[in-house]
Amino acid sequence: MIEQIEKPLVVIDALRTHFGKGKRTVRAVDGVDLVIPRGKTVALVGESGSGKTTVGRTMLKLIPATGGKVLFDGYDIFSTSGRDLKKLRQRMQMIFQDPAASLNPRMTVEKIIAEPLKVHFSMSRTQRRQRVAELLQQVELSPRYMNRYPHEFSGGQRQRIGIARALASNPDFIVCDEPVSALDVSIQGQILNLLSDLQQQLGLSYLFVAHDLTVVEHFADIIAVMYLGRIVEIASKQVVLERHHGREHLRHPYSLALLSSIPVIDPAKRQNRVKLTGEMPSPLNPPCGCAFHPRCPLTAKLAAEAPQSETTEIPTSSGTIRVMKRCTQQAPQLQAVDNDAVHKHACIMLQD
Amino acid sequence: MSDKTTKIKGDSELVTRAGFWKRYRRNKPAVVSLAVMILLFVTGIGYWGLYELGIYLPSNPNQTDPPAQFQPPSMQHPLGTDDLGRDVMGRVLLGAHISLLIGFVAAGASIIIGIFFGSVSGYFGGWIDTIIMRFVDMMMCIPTFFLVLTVAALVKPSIWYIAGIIGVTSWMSTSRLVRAEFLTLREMDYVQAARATGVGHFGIIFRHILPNAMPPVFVTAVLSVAGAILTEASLSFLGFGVQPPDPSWGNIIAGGKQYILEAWWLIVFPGIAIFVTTLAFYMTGEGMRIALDPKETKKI
Repeated sequence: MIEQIEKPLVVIDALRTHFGKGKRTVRAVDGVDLVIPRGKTVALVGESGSGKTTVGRTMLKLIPATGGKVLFDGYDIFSTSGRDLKKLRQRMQMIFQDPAASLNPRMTVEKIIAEPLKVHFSMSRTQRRQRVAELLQQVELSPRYMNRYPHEFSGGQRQRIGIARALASNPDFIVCDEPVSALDVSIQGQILNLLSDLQQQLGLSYLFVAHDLTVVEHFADIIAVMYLGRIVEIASKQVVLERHHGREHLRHPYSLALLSSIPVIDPAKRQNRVKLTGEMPSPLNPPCGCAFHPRCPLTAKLAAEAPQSETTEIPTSSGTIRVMKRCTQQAPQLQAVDNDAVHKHACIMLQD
Repeated sequence: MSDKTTKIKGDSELVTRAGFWKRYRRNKPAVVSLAVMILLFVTGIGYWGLYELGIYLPSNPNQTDPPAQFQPPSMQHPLGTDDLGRDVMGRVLLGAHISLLIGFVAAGASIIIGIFFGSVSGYFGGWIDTIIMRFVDMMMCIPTFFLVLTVAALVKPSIWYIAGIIGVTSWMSTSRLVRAEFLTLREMDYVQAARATGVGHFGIIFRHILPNAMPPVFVTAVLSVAGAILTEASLSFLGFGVQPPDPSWGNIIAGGKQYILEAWWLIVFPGIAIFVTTLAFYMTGEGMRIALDPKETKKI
């Protein structure tokens, strides 16, 4: 059998998004490479302020990129404009975090969902109405709700309306910007199942932004952990799920900290929690070398055992700490782990 | 309100149309003002209609009757007569339609111009915003009333001209308000969603942002009607506005000012008309503003 190498749907290459100028530059996204295969879900996970939402918005050209490239099905998004851009926009959509803010309060559900239809397809009014009804059914809402306004719905229902709007233009790719973090836990499951059903039915690819690994570990195929505008570790779902079998899984100290922040119900299984101290540093002035070094438990542990000449003291908000010199000097690059095609991390200490 | 729901700035709180009236009704002075406003409207337009049909109550307000000059208020002339023996009540009532017409047309023009500049400025930002806002600053530096006076002195003063002049010199605060609304609303997720869908600038401005920016603009519109009525009265008083024999509250007062000691009714009644009208518009506007502001619950 000839192995068919399919071109990935989205290729993000050294994407940078900076806000402001000169010394007041916020490096929200600072060199992100990511590949989103067709029909798969790639999750971006990280604390608030890590730049994960900005990646999604920059890809859709909602925020101007500072540098890098995004190829969508081979088309360079940033150099496209006018009619070509409109065609691309039809194929890529977005679902927002806050379902209340993402629906125009002065439009009925029908108008909201019909808008992408009006923009991209020439349909008669009855055809559009028909299609809106179909879309509502697809997201498990009754077409009877068509003439209602967004404020008449619950959070979960509003998110379904947002999903229906995203589906209206028949996209191939949807950026889901924390689509469940504003919802009740009971509703989160429903929305995730809906998204996953839609993916199977329609062959969609997702970029799924989340701050919580539990939300994405079953849902995503590939999980990328972001810290301060960069990807620090990327792995397939299998690697992340290994932890349930007590086997080796994610490597990067930041990923491990994220993992250990997941509450464990079974007290017997509770491991030693990795607690991060301090806050994420300002992207205005990121730490030199590895941006994680002021909070990194690994470098602190290694520095305690290493000879003085290899360590250095750095000031933090809670006194000075001793870290490995190399962590403050050398900018880490993503490197493959073992023979895994997907799994990469960017920790100098582990790479040696 | 043109629509069922109303969104206030960045707040997620919604004031529905039903909610708006409920809140408005709790404010008694505002309800009275609204009633007065409607009454003024009905009588002003109604009297004009009757006048045009040739029905004069109590007598033709433009018909001079020298023997009957300077009659104090009586049964026959409830508000007295002027120096030419014309009925003051009739003139004040006929003047109402001119004041209202100028007020609404001027406010309408000012709101439309203000919305145009404000939305372009707030939506596009950058150098477009800078140019428009500096232009607004410039316009605001010019003493409006003297500009209006100058222009009114140069052109033939018809009702439409006066309304137009007042309109083009009073749009600046509206444009600033609209710009501020646009700056907030253009960052909303539903606007981002529309952009991601590929909706054009025109569609985003008129379908997504403007409807949500309108409530405070309505308030300004009502307030600027009052302002325009005052400006018109001042202009007519100085002789650059509505020209006699067409009655306007301003020129009735102007005509009566020299007889102020002998015939007080020539000044007092049109003065009261101006006072009551502008007060009613101001208080209605203020009531709308309070009803639309979710943070004002305690004061109502």
